[in-house]
Amino acid sequence: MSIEKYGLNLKEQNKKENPPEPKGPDLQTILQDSEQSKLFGAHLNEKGEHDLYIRFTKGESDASDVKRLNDKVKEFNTITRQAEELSKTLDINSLKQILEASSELGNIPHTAEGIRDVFRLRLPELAIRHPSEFKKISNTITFQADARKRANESDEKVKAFCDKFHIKEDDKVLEAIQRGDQKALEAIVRPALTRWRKFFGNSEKTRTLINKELDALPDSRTINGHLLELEGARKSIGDTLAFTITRNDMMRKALIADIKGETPEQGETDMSAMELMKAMDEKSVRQKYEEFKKVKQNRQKYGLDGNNPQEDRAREDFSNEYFGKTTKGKKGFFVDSIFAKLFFPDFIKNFL
Amino acid sequence: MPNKMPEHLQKEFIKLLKEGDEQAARRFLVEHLKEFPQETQDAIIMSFVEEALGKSAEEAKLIADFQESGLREIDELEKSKQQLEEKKKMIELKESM
Repeated sequence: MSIEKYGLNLKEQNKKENPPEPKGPDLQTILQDSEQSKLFGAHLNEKGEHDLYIRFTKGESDASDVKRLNDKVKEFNTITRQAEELSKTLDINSLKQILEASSELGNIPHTAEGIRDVFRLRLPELAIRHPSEFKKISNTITFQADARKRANESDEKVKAFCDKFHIKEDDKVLEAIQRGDQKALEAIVRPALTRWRKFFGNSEKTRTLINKELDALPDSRTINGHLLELEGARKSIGDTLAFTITRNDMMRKALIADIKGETPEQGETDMSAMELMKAMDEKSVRQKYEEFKKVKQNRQKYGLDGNNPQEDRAREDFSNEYFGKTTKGKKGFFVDSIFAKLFFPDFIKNFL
Repeated sequence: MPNKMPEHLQKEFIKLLKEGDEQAARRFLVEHLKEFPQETQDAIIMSFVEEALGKSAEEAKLIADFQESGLREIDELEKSKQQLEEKKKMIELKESM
């Protein structure tokens, strides 16, 4: 084969292995779509290209502006493509499980597919307008996908172990599940996990002792005793592990409740939005907002110096900054984030 | 994010927040979902799903950690068992001689 042909083959192979990234719409195409056009404007603004944005909307762009605009189009396409890809990683089965398990989401008139459509529609906008919010959702989706993958792998290992030692699901467990008796299930799981913890507490000590005795040339009776002891331990661990592959929501709840009992909750130190709402008054919020707007960068970003001021956006960012910091790390205050994202900007609009 | 919130919904939600009743605030969002503008509805759904995904990931991780600690311990037990059985064979061989 000639070098040229070899080179061509390599090129072909490269194309197959690393297909070129799709380019996405060009500037003209974006401008023809009013939603995309608005989003692109938001992207320019977000990237601190407010002046470019103004010249662009007034039709005053020069040659260097056009080049910069085309660069921004590439950037814009990369971000929106990442957001679209992210929505594809949402697993339909996981969404179905979530819908089944949550009384709140169960009342929302959406199927798992419908929810994925909501993400597909909204993520690109979120990625452009609220990059930090997008990053947070992106981290959660990726974390969930990784955890799911790891859980599946771990399940397979436990199944293989149970098959190898002919460990089957406990009849009492199956009966309790069939009866829908959560309390009975918890009554089986709790002592098993207590034994498990006790065993783990002693396990290392037992193995060290066995190793010491091995060095001291034990007789076969002592060895048989230890073998029985180890067999009992393996059975105890195996039976408990078998609980974890029971694909049932009741069993999962019983296990999680017991395992979680060992793990202390963290991040209970910050003030919640609710407490903040009680404490603050209109004057102090107005003062904080004015301070937020005074920063030079903020004035440029939101066009507050005169051109097309974006007060709405400024209020949203102020809200996210104000509440984002005070409620960071706090568990059990989900509505705080809803409040900061959706209600607060409008709420303060009434008196600012 | 959406910025046009019906005033009565806003007032009611803030009232629940001030009362500190998180569960009631959550129920309120679900029960009145359809009354919010479409963008807000989507944002609320996404927030609920994001929270649930995070919770489901934490739980999956918790169970996987639990399973792996059990499997690791079983490996250690198997190693000890193997050593014991080898020793037993040696002793039995010695005794038979």
